[in-house]
Amino acid sequence: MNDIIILAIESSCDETSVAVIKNGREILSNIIYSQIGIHKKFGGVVPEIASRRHIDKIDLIVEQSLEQSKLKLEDMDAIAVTYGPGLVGALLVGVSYSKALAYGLQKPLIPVNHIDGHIAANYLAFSDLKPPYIALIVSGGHTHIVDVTDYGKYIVLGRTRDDAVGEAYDKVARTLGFGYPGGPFIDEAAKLGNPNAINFPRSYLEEGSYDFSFSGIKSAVLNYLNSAKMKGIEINKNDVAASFQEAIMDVLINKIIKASLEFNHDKIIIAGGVAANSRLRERLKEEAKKHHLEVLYPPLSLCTDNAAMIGSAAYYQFKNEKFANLELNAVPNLKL
Amino acid sequence: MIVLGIDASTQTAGVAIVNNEMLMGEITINTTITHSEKLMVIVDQLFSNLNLKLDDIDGIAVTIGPGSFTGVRIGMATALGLAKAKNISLAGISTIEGLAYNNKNYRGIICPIQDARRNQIYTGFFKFEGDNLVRLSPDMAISIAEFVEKANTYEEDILLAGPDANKFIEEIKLKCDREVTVSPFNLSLPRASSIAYLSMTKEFGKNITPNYVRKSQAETSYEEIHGKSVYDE
Ligand SMILES: [Zn+2]
Repeated sequence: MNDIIILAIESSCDETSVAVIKNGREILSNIIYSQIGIHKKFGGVVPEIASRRHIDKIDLIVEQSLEQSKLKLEDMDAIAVTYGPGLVGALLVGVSYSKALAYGLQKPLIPVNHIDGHIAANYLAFSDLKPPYIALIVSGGHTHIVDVTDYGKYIVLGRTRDDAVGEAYDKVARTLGFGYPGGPFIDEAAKLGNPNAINFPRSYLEEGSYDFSFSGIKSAVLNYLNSAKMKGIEINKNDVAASFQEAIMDVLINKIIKASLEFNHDKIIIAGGVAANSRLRERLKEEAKKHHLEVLYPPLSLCTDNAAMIGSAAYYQFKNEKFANLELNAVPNLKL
Repeated sequence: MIVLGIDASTQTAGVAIVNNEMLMGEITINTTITHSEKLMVIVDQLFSNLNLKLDDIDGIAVTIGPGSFTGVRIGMATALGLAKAKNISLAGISTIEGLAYNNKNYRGIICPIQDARRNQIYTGFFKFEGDNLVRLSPDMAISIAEFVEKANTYEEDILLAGPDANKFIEEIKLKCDREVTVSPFNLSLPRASSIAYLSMTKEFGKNITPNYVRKSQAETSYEEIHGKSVYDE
């Protein structure tokens, strides 16, 4: 069979990224322009600024990605683009550019769900990984447990009912006076703290539910900090970070292990920015071992947003000819 | 030279193909349907109606603002994508200048008006000298009061152009001490053909930069609080 080469474009949040991917598994190039330095100053992503950066950078990043791949546009079999979920203005830059590029090249355009991309990041990291498996997708915008039955085919078992994990991390980090994004700061501080110092609530919801709720623990941390302040008690930030993280991990790990056992999977994959969390990796491996389950997670560079993962997901859509027409629009709250 | 003109910077979305002085075809739609869904569709329609291909195009001209921030980017991203596919040169054209260009026979000062909200208009001052449109000011976001003050420094009569001119004509007339009229309605919408024609007097290249005229609210409030730009170290 001929090789399938896909140029993929990702602009759903604050990274402008373009990748060239061979057969869904091999990264020929993956250029990521991150805007995080600007958004840090605001303590979160500012949509209008993100969109402005994307339009300033997209053409250059396409050029750099092609250069690195040593291929030409004519060598591409298809163009792929993230069309949701994400920030609408940011998505529209990638979507509009990709539609025009695909039209000009007379190549098919593949519309990719960003979350689908996060899952597919594992296909780039593990060349023999095949569905079925259970996936935990955890990031600033998403918290999902899904049963992956085939490439690009999922049964969503649970999702967050309020904040995503990453959001809860960002808010707690802010109140502790840490920087943005909060995940890496809390992860680092937690290494120096005692995870059993404070007993924050764990919300498991109804018996048998794979949904999540993180708003309760977020307020519990805020209440703890406020009452310590009122009583004039010195707090240990590292202990707060470690205890908060532990409460989150208890719930995540409990549910993902349960789901793998209930649905008879022997593999768990984690995806999304929070998959970079060291405590999640460490504890999940430990727990999984007890049940003879395998845990896979992508390298750090493929955990955060990147176009390579979009190109991998797109490959499996290419095979099923799931293409977009010229009316493709950005869908900011696209579901998995 | 065959130029493809693209505009999506206001509520109107338009494409045109112009061969030197001759308009080969133009599609303008003026609806609230998102440009994202319609712009490439009308590009495709125009090419197939004219039996042309993207390979036949020598240059792409696109509006770079001011206007709807998102609209500007949809137009520009579309132009960039098309240009990249066939290595075509680009020209970025002011939306305001394009609106002025529509009124080629007018002999006074032409001021396109776009409602910029927050009590401001996007505007600029232009004048035709023969066939050449001469720019007398940069594109601006200013209040009606500031506009009138600037308008009163010119000797000539003033034509308000653009889709929002009617919204402000009464207020401007009251305060302006010279003859002020509104351009005919058939010339008031942005036209991709005007953008394409205008580009023939400009330089084409590989890069185009948006001109929003106005900073985003986040950038402005950051500057107010920190006394420096968010892009400074
Ligand atoms: Zn993501």
